[in-house]
Amino acid sequence: MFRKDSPIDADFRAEVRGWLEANLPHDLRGKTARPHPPEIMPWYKALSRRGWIAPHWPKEHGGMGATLAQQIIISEELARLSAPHLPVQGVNHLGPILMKYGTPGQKAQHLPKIISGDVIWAQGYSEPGAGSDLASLTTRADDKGDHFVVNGQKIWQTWGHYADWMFMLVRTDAAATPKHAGISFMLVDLKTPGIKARPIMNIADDDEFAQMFLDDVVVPKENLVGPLNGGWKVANDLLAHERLGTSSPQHTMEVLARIERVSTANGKAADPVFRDKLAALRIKVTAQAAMFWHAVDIIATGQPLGPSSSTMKLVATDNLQAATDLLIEAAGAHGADAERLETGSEPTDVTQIFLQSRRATIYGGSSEIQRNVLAKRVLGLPG
Amino acid sequence: MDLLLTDEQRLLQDSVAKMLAQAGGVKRTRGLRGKDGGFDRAVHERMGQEGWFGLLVSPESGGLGMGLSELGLVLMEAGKVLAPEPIAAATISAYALSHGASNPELAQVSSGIVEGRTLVIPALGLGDGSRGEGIKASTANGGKTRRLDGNCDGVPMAAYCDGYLVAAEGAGGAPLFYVPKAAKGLSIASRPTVDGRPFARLTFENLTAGALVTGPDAGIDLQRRLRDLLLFAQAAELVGVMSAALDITVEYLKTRKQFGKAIGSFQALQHRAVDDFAKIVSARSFLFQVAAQGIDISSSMASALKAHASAEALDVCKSAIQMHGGIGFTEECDIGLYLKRAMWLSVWLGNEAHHRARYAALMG
Repeated sequence: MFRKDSPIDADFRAEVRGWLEANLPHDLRGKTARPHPPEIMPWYKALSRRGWIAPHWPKEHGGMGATLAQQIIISEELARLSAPHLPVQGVNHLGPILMKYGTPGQKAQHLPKIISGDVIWAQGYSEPGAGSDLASLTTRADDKGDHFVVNGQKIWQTWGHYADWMFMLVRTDAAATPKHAGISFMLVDLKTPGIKARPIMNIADDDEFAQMFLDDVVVPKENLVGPLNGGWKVANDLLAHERLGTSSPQHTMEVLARIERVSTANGKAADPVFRDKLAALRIKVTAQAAMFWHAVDIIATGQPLGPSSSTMKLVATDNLQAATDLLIEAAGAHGADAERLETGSEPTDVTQIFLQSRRATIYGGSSEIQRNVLAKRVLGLPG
Repeated sequence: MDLLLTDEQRLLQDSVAKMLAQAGGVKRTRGLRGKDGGFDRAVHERMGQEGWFGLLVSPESGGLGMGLSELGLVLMEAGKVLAPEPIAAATISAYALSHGASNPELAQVSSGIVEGRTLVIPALGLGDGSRGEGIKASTANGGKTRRLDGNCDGVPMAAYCDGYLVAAEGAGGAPLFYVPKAAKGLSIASRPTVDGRPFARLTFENLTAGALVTGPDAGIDLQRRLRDLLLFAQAAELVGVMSAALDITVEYLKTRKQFGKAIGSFQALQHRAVDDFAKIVSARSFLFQVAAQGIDISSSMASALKAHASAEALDVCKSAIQMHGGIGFTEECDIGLYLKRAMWLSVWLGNEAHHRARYAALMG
């Protein structure tokens, strides 16, 4: 919307587009929910073999060492074909953390298997009693000399019941004040005795989450990442760059494409009131794209995005939900259908994506928590 | 999410802010409201001497040869202190006239605008034929003279300037004329606005047109370019208006105490303020990403930007009044002036709904 590719980038885009069109299986396109591992991991591995699974990773760790522009091109081209969401906890979260805080042994053991797709990672941060107030987490890791013994519960692990390993935040100092000063970051092999995973069905009938029960789980000392009781910083250090991903306008543009298909198929597109609402939404998404490219410009100069960048998540998630609202409106009498609508050449799901989009303002720090943080850290308001 | 500015741009921004503060800031604007067009010709001339009106004019034509980012910065600063002078009109008229500078009359007007001595206001109307609006250009005298007939509404400070850039409809094109205020056959019906700066309806009756700035066959559609640049300029002022309105409000939230503590410690007000902040960050990013596309601004992007900035600025200013409570509802509190300026800027050359519709039509 705001960028033209340089000649080199245009060539790269053509290469990516051609390869994806030839290699992305048709039955994986246009899915709202993330397909299960047997369906999707072959695609993950195919992308990995092509060298495009971790464009943002440096080459020394098996990544592509891509420029920011190339990274965006890959994700744009994936979105263009409505490619399925991949399990990205390893590539997007743990990988960059290990590169910064991991020991040589940890890097050698884990990074190659993230790239290859041989190990699926889950993120173990939230607990039943520690959601928005994450620092109050109580899953304990007791020091037993050469290992820790972990007891507690974790919740909202994406694919926890399919994952092979989990990175988690655990309490290693019960008396610490503030509370986040007693938290450590560690890795656990989910085959270790004492771990149970219970799948959680979400509001859109998708079993993407799990609750994890840890009873006397033995974790070797070498699985600690970063300093003991230094886990809060390890987990939060790279959040600002992740915000770029969550603020990308692509998710909402994917919903806009569905609105086009549905409203063209049922004639709603000709209704001037509906067209006006759609124009209003498109303008908001254009402004969001401008925020995204502004953030890209800042990162490209090597400057930090700063705490004000979480306004991007507020704007992006509001727009996503406004778009799914309009999609349901466009569907009219079919706005509660559980099955996909007949819309020309390909069917279009409207209700699953509407229900799935509820999460956007909840996970990764709810919109209310984001507002609390922005009020204090950016506007300097008291209390 | 600060703006990425070069040292030169930062210097420009600081010098504009300094000049406007020295001129008297918001207090000066308040004093000028409703008098002689609501602005100060002497201050306007000083702005010209500072070089602001030549920002977009090439150095060969006596300007600074800068771009939309610099224009955006100047107008954002002007918006912050509600500077009442028609800076956008002057800057963009000078740019348009520099395209017709081969005509000696226009070259003189152009250099007068750049220096701040001459004030020319674009009279473009809404350009959508609403309320029977529109100015027809026809030829008389066997083609020797051109005549203008019709009317154009929403021309700011029309009775307090020296001439207009008039968008007319001619045979097979969209010519742009320079018309001096003293031209015979022109009548001006001014009306006051809440912002203290009047709008007027211009009526042309059998008026002998002045110099043609650009005819239907010109390389670029200067009428359209002029309109789209003005939309960009209004968005820039609106961003300045809303960011200052929030800054003033946040300061108030930190000092005003109720229930024994600063009202800014209450979550209901904190969340409102953050939502307003997000609107500002988004509108500001939008403005400067459009600026980075260069002066060849697309009409759909200009309309989207104007629609977005208008909606967000009005929301932020209304919210600012709400957060001020009772004092925000008084005439003496400056925050109300910010809402009134946002109203004025939103209306000039088309409000949010108008530009949403223009955007939708252009996008097909």
